[in-house]
Amino acid sequence: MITLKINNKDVSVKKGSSILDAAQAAGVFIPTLCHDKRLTPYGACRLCMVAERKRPDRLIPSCFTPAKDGMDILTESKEILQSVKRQLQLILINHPLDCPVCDKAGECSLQNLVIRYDIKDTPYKLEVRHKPVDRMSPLIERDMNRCILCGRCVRICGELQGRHEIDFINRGIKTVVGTDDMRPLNCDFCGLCISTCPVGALTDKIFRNTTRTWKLQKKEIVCSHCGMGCNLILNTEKGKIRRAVAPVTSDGMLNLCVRGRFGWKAYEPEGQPASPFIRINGAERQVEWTEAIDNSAAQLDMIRRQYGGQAIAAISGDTLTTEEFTAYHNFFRNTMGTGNLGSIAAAGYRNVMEALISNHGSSCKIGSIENIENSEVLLVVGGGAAELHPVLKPVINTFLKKEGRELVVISSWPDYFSERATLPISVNPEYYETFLLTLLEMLEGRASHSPSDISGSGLSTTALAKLISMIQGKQEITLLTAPGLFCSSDALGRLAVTLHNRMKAVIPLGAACNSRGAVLRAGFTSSLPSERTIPQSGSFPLCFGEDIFRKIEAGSIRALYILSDDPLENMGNPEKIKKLLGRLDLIIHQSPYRTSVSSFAHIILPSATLPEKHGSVVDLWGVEHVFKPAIALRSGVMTDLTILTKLQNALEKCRPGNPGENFMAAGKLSATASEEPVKQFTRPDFDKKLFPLIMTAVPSLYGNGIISRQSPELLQLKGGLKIIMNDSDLEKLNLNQADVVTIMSPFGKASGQVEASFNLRPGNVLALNVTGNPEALSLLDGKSAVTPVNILKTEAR
Amino acid sequence: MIPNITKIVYCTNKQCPHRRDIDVRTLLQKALSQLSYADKIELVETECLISCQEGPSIMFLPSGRVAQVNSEQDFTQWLIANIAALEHTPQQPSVSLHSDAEIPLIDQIDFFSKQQLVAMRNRGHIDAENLDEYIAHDGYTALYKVLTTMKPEDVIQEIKASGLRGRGGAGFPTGLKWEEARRYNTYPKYVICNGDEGDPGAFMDRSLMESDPHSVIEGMIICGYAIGAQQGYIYVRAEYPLAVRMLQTAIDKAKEKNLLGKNIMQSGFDFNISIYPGAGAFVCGESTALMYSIEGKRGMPRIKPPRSTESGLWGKPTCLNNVETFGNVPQIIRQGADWFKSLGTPESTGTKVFSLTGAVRNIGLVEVPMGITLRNLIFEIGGGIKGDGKFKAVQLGGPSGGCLTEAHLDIPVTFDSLQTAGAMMGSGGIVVMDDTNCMVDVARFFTRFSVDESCGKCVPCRTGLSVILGILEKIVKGQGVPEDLQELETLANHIKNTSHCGLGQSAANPVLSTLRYFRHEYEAHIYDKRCPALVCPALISFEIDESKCRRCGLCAKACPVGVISWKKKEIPMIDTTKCTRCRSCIKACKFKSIY
Repeated sequence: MITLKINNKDVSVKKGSSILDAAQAAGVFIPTLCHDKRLTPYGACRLCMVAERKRPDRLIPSCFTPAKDGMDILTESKEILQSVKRQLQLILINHPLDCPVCDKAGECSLQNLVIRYDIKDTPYKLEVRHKPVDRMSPLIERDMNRCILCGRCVRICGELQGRHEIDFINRGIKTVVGTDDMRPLNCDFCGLCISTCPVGALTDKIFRNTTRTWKLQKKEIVCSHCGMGCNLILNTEKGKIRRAVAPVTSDGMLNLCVRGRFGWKAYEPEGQPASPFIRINGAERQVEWTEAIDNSAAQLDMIRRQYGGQAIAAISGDTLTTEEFTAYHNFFRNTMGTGNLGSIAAAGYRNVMEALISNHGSSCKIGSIENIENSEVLLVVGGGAAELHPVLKPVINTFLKKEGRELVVISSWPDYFSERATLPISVNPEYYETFLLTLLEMLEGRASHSPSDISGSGLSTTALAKLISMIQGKQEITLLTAPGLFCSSDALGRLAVTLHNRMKAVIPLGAACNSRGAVLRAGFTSSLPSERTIPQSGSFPLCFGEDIFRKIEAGSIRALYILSDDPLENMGNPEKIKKLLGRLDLIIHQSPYRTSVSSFAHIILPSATLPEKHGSVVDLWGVEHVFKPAIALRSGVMTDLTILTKLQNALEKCRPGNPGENFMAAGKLSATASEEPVKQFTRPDFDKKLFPLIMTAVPSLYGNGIISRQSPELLQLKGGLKIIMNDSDLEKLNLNQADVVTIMSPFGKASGQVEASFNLRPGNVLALNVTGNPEALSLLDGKSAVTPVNILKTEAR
Repeated sequence: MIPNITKIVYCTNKQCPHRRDIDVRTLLQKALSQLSYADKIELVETECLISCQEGPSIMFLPSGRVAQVNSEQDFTQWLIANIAALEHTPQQPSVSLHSDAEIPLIDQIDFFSKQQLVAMRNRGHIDAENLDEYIAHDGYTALYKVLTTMKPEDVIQEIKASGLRGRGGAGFPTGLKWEEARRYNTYPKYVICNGDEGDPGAFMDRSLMESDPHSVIEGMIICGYAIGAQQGYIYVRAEYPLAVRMLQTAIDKAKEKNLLGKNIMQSGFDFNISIYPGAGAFVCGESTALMYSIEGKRGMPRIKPPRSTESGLWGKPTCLNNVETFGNVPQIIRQGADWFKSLGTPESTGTKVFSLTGAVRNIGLVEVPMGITLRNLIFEIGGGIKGDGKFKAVQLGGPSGGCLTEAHLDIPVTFDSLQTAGAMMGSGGIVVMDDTNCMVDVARFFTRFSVDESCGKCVPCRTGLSVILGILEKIVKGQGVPEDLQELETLANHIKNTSHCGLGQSAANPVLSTLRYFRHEYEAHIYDKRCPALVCPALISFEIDESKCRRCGLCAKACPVGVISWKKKEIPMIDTTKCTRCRSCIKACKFKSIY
């Protein structure tokens, strides 16, 4: 610690702090425009000038000058004030005074400083050049006339997001911030640039001229697009959302991604059902809530009586609050007596969590964000960590900024993390799961690892040897598990269990909004009292969506209750699922949105979106977020909690005093086919000539779940199915960037647009935006996200 | 047969403004073969013989006579005459080509004899592409001494003791910098040679890189040994293609002889040098911007601390020195710190190369001991003001420096004394101005340069300089108001005090120093609306002072648009409505009668 004086006020700060940090600790205001705590200091605006008492005429920029012990700093001498004023006047020469039409007015740092320092006019005159305005880019408008060239957007895009989409162009007075050739933005649209812009040069296009900032009410909620638990401030006016911004945090980590910042239209869906529907003989009928609840209760009661509680299955999309999950658990476990509680969207996350908790108990080392910041080594198993959770991009770039940090990424495709890895371990996609199991055996010492074991895996033996020695070494390692799309394997969970004791912490990724809360409150299938006694031999009874549909196929499930999810949109092979859905006696779809499965549902119950509810959510770091409704509940819509409580009451009315356990014992449906999951990784060999390429369906950073598909902005960014291929493969097939192609697998056929990538392995193909696209989903066999494909050109662009 | 002539050295610099397209080599070969001396005299190409005022030169070795070549004369005849003269009276001056007047021996010419060559000692004496010649001139003996008898600490101690200060302008003690770079235990470390010489009119680094590249390389290897680096970069302007070629050749030849590469001179020390051509930004001469440029980033100065010696190129300890600094290093090692200290003043030791340009008779590169007075530089070495002009000001240090007046002519040229006077050593450009230079216009010229070359990072440099330029342009157009002077002064001081890097902090110096010493000229522009030096066209009335006019009509002849009517023995008339204000008449008038 060092102690210094700021305006005669003693303050102690830790070594390495800047004078500005010390002043802020002392509560002394120093004006800045180019400073952002999240970024390394830059020193461009020259507003933060201070002076030492012994040399008051020598101005020191405080934002990057280190504080030294015993310094005596002045921040408000005549010279300093003069300098700040002059600097602001110089900035104002090049800044249009178009505040009446500028969205930033009211929260503009420049405006605030100009008023604070009482700048009334600028004595300097300069012919102002016209600079480019970008109105073509989606979501972000860039008006370079307003830009004061503080460089915060350039730095945040490069330093934190790692995208380097914009940079300075030209020099001197002609400098502007722009893209190459001044093309529209084609980036992550994380909006970090908007969040850091001190003036109105970068603005939110959806918010553009809708209202004035001072009219907004600010409601803090948690983002429900994934399980990262980013806090979100919804800015509302007259009960309508106008925009979403990130709260100002002290450390600045966990910013927002494109989904959080621009995907808020999903929270106030338009054209969605505002009352329950019942389908009788194929015809939909709008009904009152009482009728819908009574009808649901009666049918569920009938099925549990006839076939037993286990004939009812539920799938939840993990967007319920923790309180709702308690009700959910109570309703299905205790009242209905079923253990078939599955998850589709967050199955991969739940798998790892379940494996960890059932093997290491509740004391298992589930990591928090600090574990990432403080670890020496991050071991990421699985590709797509940053695509599943885009806010990890700033986190990982901050991690890598420090010297000596290692990022090890085991991935079957060149995702964001593996591109930045200090030790990338890339595995052929067909071999990926086998590799995880081989690695598991190697680590457990069950298999001697010789290089021949991994032939065909496409990975380098030196990289593998390095990984093994790193694991056997002494460095602090934090494990991150990134499940693939359509996860149906328990390999990741088993690996996490094996590595658990060696790791500093394990952070399972892939959680949906409240997956951790769901795990905490609703537990797992295996924790059902009756099943606990079943001895477990290494494998865990999972309840993936696939397992439920296997049971439907086997005939042991007769009713399916779907909450805020959609098997038709989030699982492979939709044709088969459609057939299986047709076999069911009852499908209840309870969701804020009408999705594909709604047309198969017998009863549709419209539920509230997360900002309409109050309650709490536990994010994947284990932080509990308690929130109040940010927007009013739409009329005709009920929260999941109300629906589940009402159903519970109705069922209790049907047959009071019948706990679920009675139904569990009551006649179990005899299975007509095998219920046992087939856990094997051999796949049928397909003709390499017919299907020469290997496709992996990978997550998109613009969102893969139900909620993100409700946002028109995110949908537009995603576009249709994108096929990413290596340059050489494109050339071989005589294709060009953006050509429309037909992609065929042994299971189905789809059309998409090709994109070139130079770091993808030749022979491999990535498919983006598969979820929600029935045609694309039909390419997959329903078990895995990897399939052999062939690609043909359909038409010239 | 040909006594006293073993070699004829001729200059080849393609960028020399005095070349006049003469192919000296062909001329010499023709002449020598006519004399059938072709195989007896070696022709040696050198970059520059530094007697630039007259055109391409040749020098006879070993006598050291210099003569200018003129293809219009009978070259062979002249050569014979000269050789004959040498044969008979070896100590007599040789015969000049054009006027048949005698020209003195090189060490009898003030321009040469008053110089003291340390960094430039090999200029004109060796073939830069021939490593053997460099070695024959004691080249690489310093490196040998270092590698065989000295510890890195000894080298640093020697450099520190010599008092060598950075020749790039700021004058940071080189030994201290090396010591600091040695102190950090992060590897790899880097040595960078800053050859991004961008000041208008300065070309000493280019000349050194072209005429004696090995001395720079040797200096870099010694630095690498001293700080513990194994990789060096020479950042050289891409506008210096010959320098790039010479350096590359030198590096290749040094590698062949194991003077670069692995295990240099069997000492176990490895060192390599790569050339990195710049892309033409003046700000890349700033050390941190230069490192960003090598890293492939936009050339912008970064924040300090950390200093480059702690975290420079690629975040590793880096020692960056100027070309001339490295050029001095082998000499210091070879001849000792005491010898070096005996040159110059106690605070500024050694010599400094200046490029002397402007209104002096002898322009060119001059290397003089520090502490020489400006008067000596300009009037003895430079030969005084060209023509019948009167000394007015001297601009030191390029766009970062300032203008000094006659009153300063007797101050010694050292880093500190120039700083005190309001100018700076800079990289060593000296522009001498006579009374035909308007100081407002000079300030405007340098400010314009800085505005164009500002990287645009910080507000005062980016916007402030543009505002200053705007005010200066207003003044030279005659639209200045009295408040402008106050505004200029405060703004210039503001830029000086709050800019981020050296470029911005010093960019206002030309304005500040001209305001300080030539305020009356600004006032003449603003109050009287006239330009005393008759430079600013908007402030010249283009009328003829009848009391001065001798009715010679030269102005009418000079006028390119023919708007001056003149009849013999009459005062000419200028039709100012049609006049393009090109100032040809003013230059033509010998009696200064046009105002």
